Amino acid sequence: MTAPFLLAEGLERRVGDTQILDRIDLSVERGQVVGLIGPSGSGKSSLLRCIAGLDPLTGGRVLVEGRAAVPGDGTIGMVFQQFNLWPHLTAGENVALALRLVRKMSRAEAGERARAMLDRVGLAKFADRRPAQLSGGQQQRVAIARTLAMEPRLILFDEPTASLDPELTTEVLDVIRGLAETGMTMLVVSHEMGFVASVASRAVFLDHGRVLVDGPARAVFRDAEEPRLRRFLSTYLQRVAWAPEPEAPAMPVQAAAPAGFPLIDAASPAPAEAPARFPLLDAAANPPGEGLPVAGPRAAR
Amino acid sequence: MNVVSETLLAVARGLPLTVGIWLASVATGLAVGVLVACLRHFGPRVLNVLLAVLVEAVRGVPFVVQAFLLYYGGPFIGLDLTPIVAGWLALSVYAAAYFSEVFRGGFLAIPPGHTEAARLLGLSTNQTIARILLPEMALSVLPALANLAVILIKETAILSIITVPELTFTVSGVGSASFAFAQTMAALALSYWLLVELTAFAARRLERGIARATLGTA
Repeated sequence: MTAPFLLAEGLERRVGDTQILDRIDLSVERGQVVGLIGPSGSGKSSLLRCIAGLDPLTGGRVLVEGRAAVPGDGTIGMVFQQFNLWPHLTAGENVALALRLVRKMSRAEAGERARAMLDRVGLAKFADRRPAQLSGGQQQRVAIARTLAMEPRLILFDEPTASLDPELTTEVLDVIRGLAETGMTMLVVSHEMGFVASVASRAVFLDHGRVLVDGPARAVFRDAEEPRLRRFLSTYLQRVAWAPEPEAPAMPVQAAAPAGFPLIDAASPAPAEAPARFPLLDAAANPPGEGLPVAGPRAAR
Repeated sequence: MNVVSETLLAVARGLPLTVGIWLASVATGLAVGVLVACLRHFGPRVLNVLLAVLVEAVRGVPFVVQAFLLYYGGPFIGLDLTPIVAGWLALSVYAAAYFSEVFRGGFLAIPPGHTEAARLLGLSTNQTIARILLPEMALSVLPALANLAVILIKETAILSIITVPELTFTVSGVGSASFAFAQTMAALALSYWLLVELTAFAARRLERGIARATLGTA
């Protein structure tokens, strides 16, 4: 039996009296996309940071392809919520800098590769702009290009869309969706339930630093039996329930959004069948090709 | 020779040394200040504490006392320096302490994620400092650095008491000899003011240049 691509065993992180991660075990196969979900403070981002080696563990170990990964050894790439682009460098320079300093590429080589990476995320023509001259979505795509340029074998996404509006979120999620299709192994912390349901092959639900649910993404969303997970998902449904009624005549969800909108792409039922107040709920809990969601404000209680 | 001529001559004699000792001290202070800030930010905790104590000691003692201690107290510990070298050293140490605090503030103002991103991409600490942190903070620390540089111009006047033949030393000598204190002090004040204005002008130009280079804006 071969070792998993990523093996996290008994991960513990404690700061003072606070147990941030509590004996987390996680194994990820090559090419898997794992969605990490859970309430704020549940330990999702800490788990990613410990796997990346940015935060120290107080127990357990992380192995990538059987070896302990060291930050900066090229094994693991990470995309942050706040982009973390270097503001004094252009988009192209942001991508090229590590290629020059770490991979020892010539300026021309690094520039060429940076342009290719920016092209991959649809930003080739913005290579000479500085981060302040780009939208949030574009900045995050530059950050993804910067990570991809170093050819990591595992990419960690820490709430990559949390500071973006829905339109910009779409830009970024489309890029991540494209990466998933290429077989990239990824761990994605996200509150975009529809995205996790439709792109992740696995979903892991954390609460208070522990893994409460771990399973195939669609099953986790469709058959959520764990009470805490049901309560967590129900908060999303309740939030959507407060959305204003669509203007009459009700606009078909797909017609109201750009093609490929990941939350509702192929997931939305026909307008005539759609519950008037839960378009996002359906999209989130009902990924492409799946049946009706089982979770709802009442069912979840 | 009348007082005006003598004063102008004294200004011409003292000004080059004032500017020279000031520029040398600013350059040394900046270099040591960056180094101290880097060691405090990235080095071991014990080094941070040690350097913090040294910086506080320098900041807590009036510059005139430091200059006296170095020049007149130096020989007691085998440090027999000429007035100019003692003046440069005293002003450099004084400048380094303050500059290091400006750079330390600059490091703290940069989001930790910028360093973490560099680390995960494989950049070394030195590369991160040189290629990310220092250029990124350049614009934000420049006004504070320029302000300190202006203060240091005026602190050079204190070096006259350890017999450095700089501007204050030469011009006040004319005043003492001629009893024309008001005229010579007015000339001295104008000279320093001119130097300060030139420095402020240069700092503004530099600020615009850095803004263009780092942010693409003027």
